[in-house]
Amino acid sequence: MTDTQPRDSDDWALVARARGGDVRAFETLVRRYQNPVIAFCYRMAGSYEDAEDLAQESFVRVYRALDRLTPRAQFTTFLFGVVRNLTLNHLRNGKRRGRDRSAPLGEEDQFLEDSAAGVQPDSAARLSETEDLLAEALEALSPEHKEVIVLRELQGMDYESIAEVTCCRKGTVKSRLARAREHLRKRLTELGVTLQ
Amino acid sequence: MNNRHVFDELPAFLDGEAKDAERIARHIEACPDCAREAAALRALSQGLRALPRPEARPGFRGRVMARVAEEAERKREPFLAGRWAHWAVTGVAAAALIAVAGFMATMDNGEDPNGSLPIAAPPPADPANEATPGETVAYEEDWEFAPEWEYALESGVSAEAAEAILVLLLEEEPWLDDMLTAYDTERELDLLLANMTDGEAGAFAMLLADYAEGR
Repeated sequence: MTDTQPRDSDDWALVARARGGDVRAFETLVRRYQNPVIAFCYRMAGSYEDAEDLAQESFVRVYRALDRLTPRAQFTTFLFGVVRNLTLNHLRNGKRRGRDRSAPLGEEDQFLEDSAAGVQPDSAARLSETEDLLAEALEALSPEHKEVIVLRELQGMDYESIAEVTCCRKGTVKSRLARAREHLRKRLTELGVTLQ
Repeated sequence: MNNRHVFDELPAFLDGEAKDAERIARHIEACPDCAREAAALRALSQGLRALPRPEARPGFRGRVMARVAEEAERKREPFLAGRWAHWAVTGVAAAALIAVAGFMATMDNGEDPNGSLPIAAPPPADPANEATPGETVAYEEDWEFAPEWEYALESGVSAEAAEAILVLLLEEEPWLDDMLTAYDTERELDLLLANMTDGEAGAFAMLLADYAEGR
């Protein structure tokens, strides 16, 4: 179950209207999911600029695929499947080019200031040191561990949905989540962070 | 009361995914070690959920919808409406070659750890154009491409398309076993198609048809 599940039938109704040429219906979907998609991309890619580019391209690709979509699963698992594939490609390409993806210290504060302009005033609060270190530990995870953590903890998806998005078995999701949490806790211990 | 610790079951329990939640809950109440572990995992979850989440800046939706409007216009263009059947076979062969090269370039920064990987792309007109690991293959200049194919080339070939086409072409190669299992579900294929441009999807459809015919 995801945070967005109750909207699912409505999502597919919007997809049907968009497929029929109603661009405003698709715009409603964009408005509905732009923030979760950007948040996912940001945590995966580590850069706000990249996150926005990836989110934009994801929505365009979903629009291109409208004619081929059938409501067999939740719309959000399809959407995040597209987002996830694009993001992993982006990470692979960045690695191939030898680019350093890691966000320099301070960038997180900067994106908060940028994205908070007129959008979410409370997001403008500076990160606490603990949050900063937790974000650093999350950033250091492998993509396959990071994606399950982000989908579970930040997007609120259940194991079944995460399995669909990441194209693996539910048991694999369970074991990856457990390992990812172990890595996070180990890293936080090394950084001297105690979460309470 | 089972005194065995339930450390391994705690993550799924706290995620609401444990099969025997009542048993685990009872154990946690009676076991200080497991209660401590559960508290640590809860604190980690709470910390992660409290991390700031960036939101769309003003203008983001407008930019997306501008791209969508371009796509809507492109969908109305007549040459994309079902003319894939007119694509030249040589164009598809070139698609495969370029796709293979594209995929190979995604692997290990273009370096082949085994020295040589078995590349079995469709026969090119000139052996000089055969792909070698990490090398980008130029298609024959004198091939004639239908407008649809030129559109596909301009659109670029995504890593997903390249990967799928490579799988289709080299199915018999044992080193591709792992990759093949990744494409055995309809769901995966849906995602694959959703990530392709119209041009790529057309090339992919042609290759699927050729592949089915050749089996």
